[in-house]
Amino acid sequence: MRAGPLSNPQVIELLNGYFVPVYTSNDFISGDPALQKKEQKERERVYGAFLEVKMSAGSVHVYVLSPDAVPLGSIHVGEAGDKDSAAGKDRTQLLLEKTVRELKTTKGKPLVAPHPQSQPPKAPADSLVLHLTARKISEKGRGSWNEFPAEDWIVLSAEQWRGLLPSGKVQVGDSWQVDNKTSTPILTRFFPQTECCTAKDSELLSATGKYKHLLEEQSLRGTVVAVDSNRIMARLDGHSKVLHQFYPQHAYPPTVSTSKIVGYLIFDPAKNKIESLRLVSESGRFENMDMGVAVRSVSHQTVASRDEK
Amino acid sequence: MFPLYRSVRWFIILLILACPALADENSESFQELQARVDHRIEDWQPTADEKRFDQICWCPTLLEAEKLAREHRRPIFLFTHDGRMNVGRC
Repeated sequence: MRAGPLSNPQVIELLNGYFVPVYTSNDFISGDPALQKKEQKERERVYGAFLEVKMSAGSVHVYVLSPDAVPLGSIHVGEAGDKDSAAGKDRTQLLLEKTVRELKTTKGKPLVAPHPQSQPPKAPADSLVLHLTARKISEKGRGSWNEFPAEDWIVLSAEQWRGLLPSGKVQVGDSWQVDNKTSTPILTRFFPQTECCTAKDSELLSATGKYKHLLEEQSLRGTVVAVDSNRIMARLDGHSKVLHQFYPQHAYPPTVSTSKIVGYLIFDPAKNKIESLRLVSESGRFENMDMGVAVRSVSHQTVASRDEK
Repeated sequence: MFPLYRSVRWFIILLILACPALADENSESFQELQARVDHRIEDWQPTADEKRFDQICWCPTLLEAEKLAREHRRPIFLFTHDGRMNVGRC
């Protein structure tokens, strides 16, 4: 859907000029608990309202409602991108055009400013926020789950990120092994887009859950390669092997993602502060496809200026 | 004698093959490593084309969308999904 109708320029123009667009994840609602409860109740009302008027409804579904939130039309996700051969338009575009025509809605300015939908989460000032991108390189743009990369936002607490640093005074040539406890939250996400039917990491990354997710092998080693007056520059080398069920509860064995890892760490030993952490995969593989994973630390200035979706 | 000669020969061949790789890793300056890693990170970031749905002026919640719809007499487009569409884990 994201790479299909929701990337169609005509659909984008219709949504911004005539509609109030919104998307919701079935098992995630942000905001305070009281609002979450109200939002959940309204989602259930909408679902029930479509069923009541005998329109299609489902968990992964397109709905169009009137300005008073009355059902007007709906499409199953599997059909939302289907092209009408006569009109040369997808079914989502046709439903939007029909709605505008019937309601005689006039075009106006967007009601909400556009903003990046993948945003760093709010995090404590002393935490380290990392952004990870995992993509299938050889299959780029071809077929479902290959149209765009998966992204993750990883927040390491001060206690966690300090585990990335060597203990004591170091000089060029010194090396140290990063504790698995520290590297696990990062390397466990070294796998590309698969079918994720939950927004909860506790389910998605659980070895005993539907995704049989397991960071089976991992290592991360730092070596000091340069020192200046107040900064230490270290090379990072490692590897990862992640098992993950592509479809939840599927009979096939979990997929295998493997990566050799290289990167660097710049830190200020006096202030005990990480200035930059960057990692990339080398010869990354997801099953029989080439995979690329990139991790970069994000400054807290960036974090402070954005809100979580 | 012959097996020993063969072992030594293979050892020398492997050493020759391994040396450039070792030398490459060890001779890479921090600036070179940094440039190599940064370049790859840049290459693998989501592109504008992959993020076209960011151009849609999404309302953050259904309740807020309904409020705006009532106020501006606009219909609502709602897409419900599993996972996190915004980061591509869906």
